[in-house]
Amino acid sequence: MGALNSRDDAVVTKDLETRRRLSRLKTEAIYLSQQFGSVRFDTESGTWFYVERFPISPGWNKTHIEVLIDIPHGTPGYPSVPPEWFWTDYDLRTSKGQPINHFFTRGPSSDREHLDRGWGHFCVHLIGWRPAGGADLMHGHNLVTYLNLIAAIFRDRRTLSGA
Amino acid sequence: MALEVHDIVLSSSLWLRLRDHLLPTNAGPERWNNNEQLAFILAAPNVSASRIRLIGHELLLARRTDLAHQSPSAIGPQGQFVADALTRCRQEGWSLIEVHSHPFDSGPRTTFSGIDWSNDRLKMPRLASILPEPFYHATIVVGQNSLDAHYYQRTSGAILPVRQVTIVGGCGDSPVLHHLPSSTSAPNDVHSPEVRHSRQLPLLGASIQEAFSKARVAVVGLGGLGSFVALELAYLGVGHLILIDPDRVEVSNLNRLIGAGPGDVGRYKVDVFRDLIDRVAPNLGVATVAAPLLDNVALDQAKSADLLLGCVDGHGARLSLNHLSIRYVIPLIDAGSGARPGTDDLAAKLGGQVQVVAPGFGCLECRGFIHPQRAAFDLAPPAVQEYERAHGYGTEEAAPSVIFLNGAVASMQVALAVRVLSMGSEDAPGTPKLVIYDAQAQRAFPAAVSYSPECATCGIDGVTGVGDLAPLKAAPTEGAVFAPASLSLVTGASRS
Repeated sequence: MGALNSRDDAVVTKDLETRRRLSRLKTEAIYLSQQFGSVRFDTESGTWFYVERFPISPGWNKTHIEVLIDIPHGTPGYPSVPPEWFWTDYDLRTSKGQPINHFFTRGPSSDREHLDRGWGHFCVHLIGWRPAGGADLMHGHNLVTYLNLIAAIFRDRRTLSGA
Repeated sequence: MALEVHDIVLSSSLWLRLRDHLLPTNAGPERWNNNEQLAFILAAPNVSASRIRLIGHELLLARRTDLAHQSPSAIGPQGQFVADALTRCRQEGWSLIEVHSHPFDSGPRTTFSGIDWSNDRLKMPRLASILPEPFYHATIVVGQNSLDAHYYQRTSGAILPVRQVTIVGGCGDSPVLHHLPSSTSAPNDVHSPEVRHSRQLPLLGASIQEAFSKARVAVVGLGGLGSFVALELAYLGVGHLILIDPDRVEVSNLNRLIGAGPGDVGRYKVDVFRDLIDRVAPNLGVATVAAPLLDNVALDQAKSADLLLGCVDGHGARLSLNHLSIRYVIPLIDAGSGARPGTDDLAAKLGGQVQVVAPGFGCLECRGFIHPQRAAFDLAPPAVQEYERAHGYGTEEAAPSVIFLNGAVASMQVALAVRVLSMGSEDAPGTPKLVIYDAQAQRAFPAAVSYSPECATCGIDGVTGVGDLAPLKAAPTEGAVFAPASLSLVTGASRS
């Protein structure tokens, strides 16, 4: 047997599932940064994905919001399990000040910290989800399609405001 | 006593590519095609309380430029080929299976040569000393009609035989599951069929009955379907049953939980069915786990099975079973039944389906049998589920269920299990991948399924064979702490 390659000092430090999720999030972040500018994600365990300035269509009291996506990180987790919840600006309202359906100002107890920071908890339930495989991330569903869905929901204010 | 490696598990597509490389069928005039050939398999361990299995994940074929020497009776890799494989083992955690061919050997008991043994005695302890646990190192030699396999046992320093190579999946009509015995492993004890099975022997044959007696089958979910399935397998003569269900018997279960009565209300379902099976088949080994599938004890039992039978009604549990099957390369037969009362607008529907998940067949995700919203709810931490229920999500009423439908679908599932456990016996017909049951029309028919190479789970970049390197686990109970400043920044040109 030959010697190990010189890169062998990089021994396993994260489990394979976390490494796979991080690799995927990194690639998706590159795609999303082209669309939304700066994005951030949790490079330690792949539990969060964050868009600093997510543009929303006219009809709201803001033009941009923060979007923080809770990435399912059990096993099975993302991408087999789609994101359900995301966090956004606590004070988001329609331009006429109406409250929003599906938008909850109190999250699960373990998420208390995010409420303290002034976040609202938003639920998007997906009916169809066929996650893209790692070989071709654009062939199927991913965070790009999830954020596009969020954008579509904000375009259709009637869905959210019940107006 | 330390557990030994019971078998090496390979998907059928990996095995076929390996065989084509080792024993090319177009040998003929090109002399090098009659030479020995070599390949490495990056593998993951599947270590449970009852046995150890090595699961093939990725095949590294040694081409001519990867070889230091090659002849009809000897072969050796270049140092770089070895170093590249070992680097991946060290960096990514894989175990290593070295495979080479003996193309000159067409006998029924191909085995390692003296040179092979000398090499293994030298390099196996060396590799174990530089690659930490849970690294396993095995070698296989493949002849034209047989093979041999052994591995290095770290605790004893001995090189021990691997009982068999298990092939899972299939192309065309090849069997979903079959075993290739290794030449030097101890032969299996053959049991005489019991008189109690004499009426089914003319139908199944002694070899299939023998295969049943050696099989470990996990039944996940003991509701309307699983109760039938567990008892039918016990009557058939399956050797070892693993029963997994977290629930206790409720009064509303008694319309369909075959064998259970009012006196069982409040007891764990697994305990009720262990008692029933003890009465039906006292010699059958039964392991029970009164916990959800993602519980550590339940996972330890389930991943030790030769065959998984999914009898669950939740999409989270169904998705978890799908992943267990693909990650550990264990065939899964999933079943579901459904009943919808008729309304003014919709006709009544009554039926079900039974389907096989195995490498190369596609899985429940790429076939569209997982409801994403329900799976996400089922797999969310308890606090999130409670929160969602408080806001009106995840509160669907219990689905209608009736015993004759469950019985029909469960029997179809067991019949499919018999075909899988028959392991390609000449008497066994090909295995359908998906069977639909229309109870109103009183007919069952096979349906086509396709394998999607793009599937995130079972596709080419999926999780096939990752085993214990990426084990299943429930979502953490506590939510992750979020601090935007701690997140890694990726910048790009915004179009907004």
